[in-house]
Amino acid sequence: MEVHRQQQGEERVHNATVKVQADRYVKRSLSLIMKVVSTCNLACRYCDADIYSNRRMSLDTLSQVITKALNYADYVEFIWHGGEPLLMGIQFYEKAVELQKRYKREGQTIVNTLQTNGTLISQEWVDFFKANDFHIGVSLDGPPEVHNANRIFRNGQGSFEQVMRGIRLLKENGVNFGVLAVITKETVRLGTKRFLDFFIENGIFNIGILPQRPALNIGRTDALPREDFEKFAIELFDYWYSLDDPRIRIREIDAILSRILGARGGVCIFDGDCIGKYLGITPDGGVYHCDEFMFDERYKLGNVREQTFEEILNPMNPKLIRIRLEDLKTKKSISCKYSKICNYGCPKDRYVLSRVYNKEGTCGWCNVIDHIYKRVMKDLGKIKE
Amino acid sequence: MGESNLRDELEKVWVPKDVGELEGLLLTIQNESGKKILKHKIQQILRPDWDKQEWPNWDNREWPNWIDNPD
Repeated sequence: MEVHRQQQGEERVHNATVKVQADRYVKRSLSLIMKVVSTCNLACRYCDADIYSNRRMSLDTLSQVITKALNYADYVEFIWHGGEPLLMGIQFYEKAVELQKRYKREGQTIVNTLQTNGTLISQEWVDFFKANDFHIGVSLDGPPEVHNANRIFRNGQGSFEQVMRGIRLLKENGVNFGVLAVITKETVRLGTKRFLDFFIENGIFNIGILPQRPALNIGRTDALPREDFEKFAIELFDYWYSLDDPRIRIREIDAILSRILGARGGVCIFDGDCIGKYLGITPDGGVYHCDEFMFDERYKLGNVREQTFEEILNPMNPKLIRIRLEDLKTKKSISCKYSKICNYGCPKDRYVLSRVYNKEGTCGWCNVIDHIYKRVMKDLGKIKE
Repeated sequence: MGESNLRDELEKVWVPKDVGELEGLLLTIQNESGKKILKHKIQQILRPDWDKQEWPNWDNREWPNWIDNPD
């Protein structure tokens, strides 16, 4: 009897060990939005960054983030962000790449993406991006009358010319890049055809779009109304789809198509599992659930200078539990038949609605998805006209 | 919308459930003129380098649990 109990006990210990080992070998992915500097050389009218402070990530914090992230995950994406991340200088990123190479484990994937306003891109930067396989996102809202309406230097001057010079350098040197356009009332006024034609005429075929949201960091709640954005996105899809040119990729529409065709979207807002995977890192090592929530201390999960990612992302971390419960609760209020496609969208949109406008609602893409879904199903012969 | 109504609505939103169904879709439009975007997208998903582990399993989809979620 005693031997039997002992065997049962050993079996339980063995099973627990196997489970722990199995959990460890589940592939983990981590996308770190590295807010390496708070300041920026631009003062865009809709920006929510704290550009008048000058907090910068130290090399020690950088080293801690990289070593701990590479120790934790099998796929690590570093999204270098700011403020304006190029203000950190090339040496900072050379150090980052050196650390990545030193601590990279066998079979591990490391991706570097950098989001810049494009005004400081030089040949030296381009050579660095190319040599180290950085993917570059440039903020460009469209033609000058749209871009310069909001994306201005501190003296009020528009930044369009400087951004286009940076893009020319990227193109001439074959750097992998795309643009990210904030959709504002000026873009809506411009219209979808002129918006998309502008990018095509300038040889820019990889475009991301996002609506102007409330700049909560600085207490501003003005934004592009959802219905205006939805109307714009629907018209943009119609025009893009009529061109029928697969070289032109509009990131969010491409993701919706992938979802409709049963695959993952590859864009965080539609993949539905961002909590604990997309983390915002402040210059002092603070770890938040996404950079979209950095203004609210309740979304701070820990600090990488004091903790490992294993500790910060422990499922029993009370802050992580609270965020997950809140996520479920806000999804609960949504009765949307397209949740299969959008996965309830970005938690920030639900947050903004409930906290800023004191109402509950959907992710804001429903009508766009409905339109695209019906068009695709018609073209696939799944529904009649 | 109640739970059962929402489930019905979700069921109406058809998406291919595996690679076989997606290949079938490609076959139906392959010889039609135009539809280059759709053909390209399906071919892209079907390419061997596309991460098949990322294919969602609709049958095991975690349905929203209206009862157990905290208020």
